[in-house]
Parts: sequence; structure tokens; C-alpha cells
Amino acid sequence: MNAAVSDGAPAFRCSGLAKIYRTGETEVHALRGVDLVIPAGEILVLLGPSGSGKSTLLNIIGGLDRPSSGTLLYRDLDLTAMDDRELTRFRRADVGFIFQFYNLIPSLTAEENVRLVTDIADHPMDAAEALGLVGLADRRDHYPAQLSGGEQQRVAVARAIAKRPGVLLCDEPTGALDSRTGIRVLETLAEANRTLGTTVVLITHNIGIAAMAHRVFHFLDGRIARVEVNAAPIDPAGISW
Amino acid sequence: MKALDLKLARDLWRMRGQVLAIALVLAAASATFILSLGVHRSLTATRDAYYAESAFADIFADMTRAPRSVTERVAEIPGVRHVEGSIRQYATLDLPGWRAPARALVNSLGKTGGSVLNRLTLRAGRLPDATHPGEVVADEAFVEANGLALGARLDAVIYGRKQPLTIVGVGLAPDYIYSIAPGDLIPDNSRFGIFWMNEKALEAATDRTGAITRLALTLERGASEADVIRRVDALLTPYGGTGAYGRADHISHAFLDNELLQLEAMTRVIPPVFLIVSTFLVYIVLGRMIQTERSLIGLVKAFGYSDRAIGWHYLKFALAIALVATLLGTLAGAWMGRGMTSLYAEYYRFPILRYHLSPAVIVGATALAAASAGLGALGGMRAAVRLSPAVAMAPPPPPVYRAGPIERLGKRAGLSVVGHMILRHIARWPARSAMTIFGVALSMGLLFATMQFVDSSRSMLDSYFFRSQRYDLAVTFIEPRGADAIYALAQIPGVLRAEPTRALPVKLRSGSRTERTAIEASASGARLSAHIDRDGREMALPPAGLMLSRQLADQLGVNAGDIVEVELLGGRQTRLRQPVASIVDEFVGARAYASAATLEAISRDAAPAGGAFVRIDPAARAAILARLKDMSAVLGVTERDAALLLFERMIDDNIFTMLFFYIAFASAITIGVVYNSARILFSERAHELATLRVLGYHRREVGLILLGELALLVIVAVPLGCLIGYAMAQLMTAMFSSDLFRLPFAPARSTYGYAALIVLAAALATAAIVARRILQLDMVRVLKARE
Repeated sequence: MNAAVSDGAPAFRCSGLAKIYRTGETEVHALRGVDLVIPAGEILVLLGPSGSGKSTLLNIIGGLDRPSSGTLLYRDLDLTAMDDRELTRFRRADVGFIFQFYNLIPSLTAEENVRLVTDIADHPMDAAEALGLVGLADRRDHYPAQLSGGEQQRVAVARAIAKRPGVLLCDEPTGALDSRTGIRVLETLAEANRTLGTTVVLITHNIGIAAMAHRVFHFLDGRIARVEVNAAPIDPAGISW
Repeated sequence: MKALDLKLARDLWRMRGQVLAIALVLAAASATFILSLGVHRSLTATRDAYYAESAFADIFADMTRAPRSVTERVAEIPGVRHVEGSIRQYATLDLPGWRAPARALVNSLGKTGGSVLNRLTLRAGRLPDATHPGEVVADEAFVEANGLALGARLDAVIYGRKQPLTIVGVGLAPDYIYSIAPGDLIPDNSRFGIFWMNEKALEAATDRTGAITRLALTLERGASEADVIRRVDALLTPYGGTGAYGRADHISHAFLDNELLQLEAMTRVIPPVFLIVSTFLVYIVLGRMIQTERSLIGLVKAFGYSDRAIGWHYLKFALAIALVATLLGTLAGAWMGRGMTSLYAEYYRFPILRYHLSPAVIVGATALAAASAGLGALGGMRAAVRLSPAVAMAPPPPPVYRAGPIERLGKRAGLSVVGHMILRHIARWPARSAMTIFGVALSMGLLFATMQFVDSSRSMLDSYFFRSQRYDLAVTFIEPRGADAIYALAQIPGVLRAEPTRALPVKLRSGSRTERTAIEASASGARLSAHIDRDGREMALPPAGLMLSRQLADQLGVNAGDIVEVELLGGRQTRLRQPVASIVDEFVGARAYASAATLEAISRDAAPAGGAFVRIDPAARAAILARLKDMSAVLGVTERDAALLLFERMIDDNIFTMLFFYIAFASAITIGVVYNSARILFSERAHELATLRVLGYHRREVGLILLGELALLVIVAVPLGCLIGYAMAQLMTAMFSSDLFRLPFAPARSTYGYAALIVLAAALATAAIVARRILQLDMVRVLKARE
């Protein structure tokens, strides 16, 4: 069990988080003051229409972007005070990302894509082990172009969990997959949460997926409109869409 | 403006970095083309106009002394149009304050003060007055080099008699466009001048009343030069004729011709290198552009645009680059052409030498640039035309990577994942990778081929001044002297050694080939001069027979062991056969050598010396030069150190100036190739690089992946560049060699290093500019899109 889960401490704490994008004359308020605590070891789902601020929040807590104002702590680390190098180190050590379009390197085999991460992480698992966890041990020498979409996304999951990250950030991980393959991917995420104690933050348009979360945050207009706490999250196998 | 043209204009602006990088390479092609062809044409046109206007003769002949009436007999030879006789006489000069004796070649001016052939052009002052025998016109280069003004007085010893001269005019003539003292390697205008004197005055000064020593003649159109030369020689033999010769053997004409030959060689070799690279660059850049605009092409085709319109659209992109390049290249080429022409004007004296850029040259440069860019566009255009709208609008199939043989090697070598990424990407785009390697290698080859001219000149300098010439002074006598003259030299305090030198004017013949030359001899046991072979070996004079320079042997078509016929010139009708004992591969001229004994046997005389090589105590130099100035037997003195200095200055002025431009041009290739490769690489890999940044790779690490591939290609290009440079240098050395010089091919090892360093520095600086884009890599935006 991960220490973060055992002590019940929050993984992320943010208050008054705002993000304003300036393009020429116009200002876009992507986040308008978000206060949020993400407990460690939970699965969270962010729901909301396009442009409601989910992805912006995910990018900011993942260290890909910076807030315009507000505070953001990951455990004891103040992410807003970090420079680019420190943010990169934070991503390298603590964050696993999973995207809608997999973002595998086409010139590397499945195993090599995982090794991209294990080569630079502090206490990674073996690349083969990570592929085993997502059920792709036998496809380790295949290039992305030789894998189905679902398989590619599972390679992406293996790549994300191989470093034993504190947090997995998933932006529409099933958006490009059919339901059967999507559920398979969600199962591996739940599995990582269960066995590694990894906090999982998941963006989706698919309300059905909310059933597997401990908490659901509903976004609207750059704010959290509503928080649902799910006392009994179900196994992804029970989800359908 | 049509919508597609608007897109074209915006594309050009958006890709301005890449457009400019290609345009610079193509501009280098235009610039070097306009430079070399423009200067070639200007020089040719100026020369031809000057020759025509001043009636430059077709055939020249020198003799000891002939009655003036011989011109009438020469005029009767069929094919001869005009004949003119004159007197030419070397004189030693003495100006107060001059350290060493200087020489002048004094020419007579016809009765009317002018001449029919080889007409003198006055630049300042006036012609000599018939009533003042000491008045002369001096050549412009001599007057400038010595800072003389009209009215300057100097003492001359003409034909053994001291005579005060006054410079009343400054002039130029077509037979002295390039004036160099006999035996010198490069002109020294401060020590050698051309003077023109009233005919009567020179007749009196040289005891040649009613006589001439030189003939010049022009030919009727279609007359045979060889025929006329044969008949002139027959006529002049009794008068000590040393053999008539045409323009090709005229020293001033030959040097000018040599220069034109080198310019022609430059035009043939250098612009094509830039043109080839430009074609490659347009090919890869347009290829990538069409790849990224796939769906757009499909869309536009679906709207109903024809294949031809789309092909033309991309061709226009290439032609726009050619247009920019031609503009830049024309400006740069004209500017450099002007500079080069004024450099030529220092050595080649024309009344007016201006760089004239003819429209034909610009049209030629434009056509070449357009053809080069257009050829590069063809591949991309064909791809764009072939794309069917339905296929084009669908996303392209993902690139397929496979483990190739290099890859397996890499695996065995325990390559990192990043190493695999680099290798597989190179293998995925083999044509583009090969072009990058080849482009950089060509750039290095061109650098090396031009930089080695410094080595070549230095090697020539080393061989000629340090190994071959071991004397301090070369003394020329007014006329051949016996052993007593050498003895007199040796007696001057501070002279350590004096050795006689002799040159016997001859015609050498083998089969149908004839060459005018002189057989040069030094005394047995001579230590002050040596014959150095191309590979640095010292060649001893053969005990019997002749030693020919490789140049002369090639011109005669003979080899060691063959027999040549020797015809003595200068009045003696002696013909005999001599074996070619050995061949020496020298750099300067077509020359023949023999031992003093052999020469004596050939000439059947007591071998008088035409001059001497002298080794001196450096401390006594000034005193010795002063003594030589006063010796009536001495015509001139060439100081080895002064000549060496002049030669070094010429290398510094000319070669280093050219080198600067060629380093800039060759770097343009590397910059163009690396910049475009890097930009394409970046655009192809932006997605991957952003992914790596998200995964926690630092900017530096991501930069290394981008630059690693380029670095690998550039490093592979270096040895290839050495090979290309070696071949190009050999070709250029051969093309730059003429009857006057054979450039040694002697690249220093460090030159490979310097060429590689310059290329690597240019590549590194360019790559760094592109690598800065990694700072602006927007991870979020890139990851939102499907690649």
C-alpha cells in the first residue's frame, strides 16, 4: 500500500486556482477560481461540457501548465513556485499521463515506449512487467502501427504506471475506443489504483464512467459546479455505454 | 490576387527561414556564376577592345640587330598585313634613395612619336620631344609603385652608357598589360619598368642607327601563323633572330590568358556545386510541405482545381525562391565582381578596366537558378498531382518502422531507446538523410578544395623559394660574360659564393611539335640552385642529355629516353639531337635544363654566363647592392627575399580574400542544409518531442534527440566531405594549371581539420537556432491533436 493512501493525506490541494489565456485582444477565462482537495489513493472523475475547464485543471495539476493565480500543492510541494526544470522533475517522478490519442512514439516498439519512462524514473518496474500488468507481454516487440487502438492505449497505460507514479492523469483515455476496449483500459487503471495506490484523475464526457470513481467533480464555466461522493464505486466491468 | 496566390505569399512568409536558407545557397550559385563569368567577360571584352584599338600584333620576333630594311622583306611574306620594326633594350636604373638596381625595358617610338602596332596610350604628360634625347614615357605601374611624378629624373645605364632620363609621360601599351621581369615569378613594379623613348635617341644610345632588334606584325585574316613564323625565322636567322612567336607565347598575353582560363574553370566547377545542393533542398522542403498539406490539396482538388493548377502552385513556390536568390546573388556577384576586377587592374594594366555586368550573364544566372529550383520541385509536384482527393483528405497512413541491419547493429551495441529513435528515423527517410549527408559533404568538399589553394601556394613557395633557390641575389648581366665577371662578383666583400648561370635560347622539336624555350645550365658542383620534383625530391642534372620540366615534356609529347631535336636560336643554324635524360615535375613553366658541359657541347662555345646566383652575408647586403649598382656589367638584381615577400603578399591579398568569400559560400550550404533538415525534423517530431517533455524529459534531453540525428548525419558527412574535397581539389588544381604554372597538389592534413571544423561550427550554430524552438514547444496543444 502506498503511504499516501494509508495516512489519508490529500494528493493535491488547490484554492482560488484561475487561468486566463490571452490571445491578442481577447481574454479567455479557462478557470475562474477552483478550490479543490484530491485525496490520495482515490479515483476522481472530472465531468463537464467542452471548454468548462477540466483539461486546463488537469494540465495545471500535471505540471504542464501554470495557473494565472491561486495556490496549488502536491503533497508538500508548491507547484506554483516551481520553475520549468522543477516541474519537469515533478512530472518525471510523480505523474503518469494517458491521452485520448495514446501519443506513443511510432518508431519504438511497445516495450521501448515503456522503456522511455523506465530509463529515467527513480524506482520503476521492469518494462516487461508493466506490459504484463496491461496484458500485453506477448506484444512487446510490436510497433504502434502493428497494434490496435485499444492495445496502443494499454501500452500508454503501461508506460504511465511503469514509473509507479503518485498520480495518473487521464484525459479522455477511452474517447477513441469502442466500449469493450475502453472498459479493458479502465480496468487496468482501476487495477493500478488498487495495487499501487495511485491517485487517478480522469476526464471524460462519458457519464457512465463516473460510476467507478470515489468522487465526481462537475465542471461548468471554469468552476466546479458540484461534487458527488460515491460511497460504493463499481468495478469498470460493470460499466457500459 | 487569387486565393491560391495569396496562400503562396503567406506560405513564403511563414516559411521565410527555410526559404531564405535555400535562397542563400542558390544565391551563392548565382553570385559565383556572375562573379566568374562576369569578370571573364569584362576582361575578355576589355582585352579584345584594347587589342583592336591599339593594334596589338599577332607575331613578335627579337633579334640581335637587323637593318631596318628587313621589315620590307618581312612585309612581302604572304599573309602579313603590317610590319613594324623597333629597338628594345634593357637598361639599369638608378634613382637616388634606391637600394637595389632596378631595370627597365626601353622601347623605341616611331618617327612621328607614335607607332602603328602596339600603340602607346598616354595616361598623363606628353610624348618625348625628338630634340630632347633623355625624355621617356614610363609605364603607369612603375610610376605608381615608385611614387614618381611627371618631370622625375633618374639615371639609366643604357648599353653601357650612363644617361640621365626625364619622365615626361605616363603610358600603357597592349604588349605590356602584364609586365614581369625575365626570370621573375611575379611582377615587381617597383624594380621593373617599361619605358618608351624617341627612336632616334634610342638608336643613338644603343649604337643601332638604322637598325632594329624587334619586329611586330599583324596577319591578314586567314593567314597561317605557323607559316609566317617559319618564313620570318628564315629571314631573321642571319641577324641573330631568337625565333618568332605568336600571341600564345607572348608573356603578357599568356598571363592574361592564364587568368581567363582560371576564371573559366571557376565558372565550371563552383556554381554547379551550389546548384546541386539547391535542387536537393527544394526537393526535401517542398516534399515535406506537400506532405503536411495533403488534406488541403485534397480539399482544393475537390473544389475543382486542376492538377495543373496545383502543380503550378508548388512550382511557383520554388521559382519564388529562385527569384529571391537571383536578386541576392546578382547584387553579391556584381559587388564581388567589381572588387575582383579592381584587384585585376593592379596586375593587368588596361586604359580602362571596368566590371561590366551584361544582361546575358544575369539572364544565364536566372535561368540556372530557376532550373535548379524547378528541378527540385518536380518530385513534390508529381506527388501533389498524383494525390486523389478522396485519399488526400483521409489522414496519411502511419509511418511503418522496421528494424533494419543498422538497427540490429545498434541493438548489439546496446543502444539506448533514444538511440533507436534516431537510427530508425534516419532509416525511415533514407533519401532525405542521404541528401543531408551529401549536402554537408559537398559544402566541406568545396571548403577544402578552395582552402587547399593556400597549401598549394605555400608548397609552391616553399619548393621555389626555399628548396630550389638557395641564393640571396640573382644577378643578370647586360650581355653574356666570361668567368672573369663571376670572379669579380665573388671578390665583392660579403659575397660568400657566386655561381654562373646560363640560358641558351632554343627550339625543341619532337615530331610535329615545336616549343620555344631556353636550355638552362648551372656549373658543375652548383650549390645555389636545385631542381625539386613535385614530391620534394631533388633531381640532379643528368651528365648527358636534357632534363625537361613535366610541362615541357607534355607539350612536346616526349618522355625520358626519347630524343628531341634542338635548334639553336640567335643566329646559329645548328640543329642537333639530344636525348631526354630525365623529367622533373616542376611547378613553374615549360623549361629545359642541362649540365654546363652538355650545354657547352650543344653550343660549341666557351659557355659565357648570362648571370649569376650569389649567396651573401646578410650584414653586407646594403653594401653589396650598392656595389652591384655601380658595376657596368650588371643589368639587374633580383633579391630572393623581396620576391618572396611579394609572393606572400599576393597570397594574402588575393587568395585570402577569395577564401573569405568561399568560406562564407560553403558555410551557406551547410547552413541551408542543416537548417532545412532541422526544421523538417522538428516539424515531423514536434509531437514526439512534446510527448517526451510530458513524460518528464528535460528540454536539454529532448534537444539532444532532435539534434542527435542531425549530428550523426553531419559526422557521417565529414569523411565523405574529405573524399569529395580531395577529388574536387585535384580537379580544380588541374584546371587551374596552365602553360605558365602547374599548381602543386599538396593539401596539408590540417586543412581537412579546418574544413571539418568550419562545417561543424556552421552546423552547430544553425542547429542551435532550430533547437531554440524546443523552448516554445507547446506540450498541451501538440498533445490535443492527433498527429
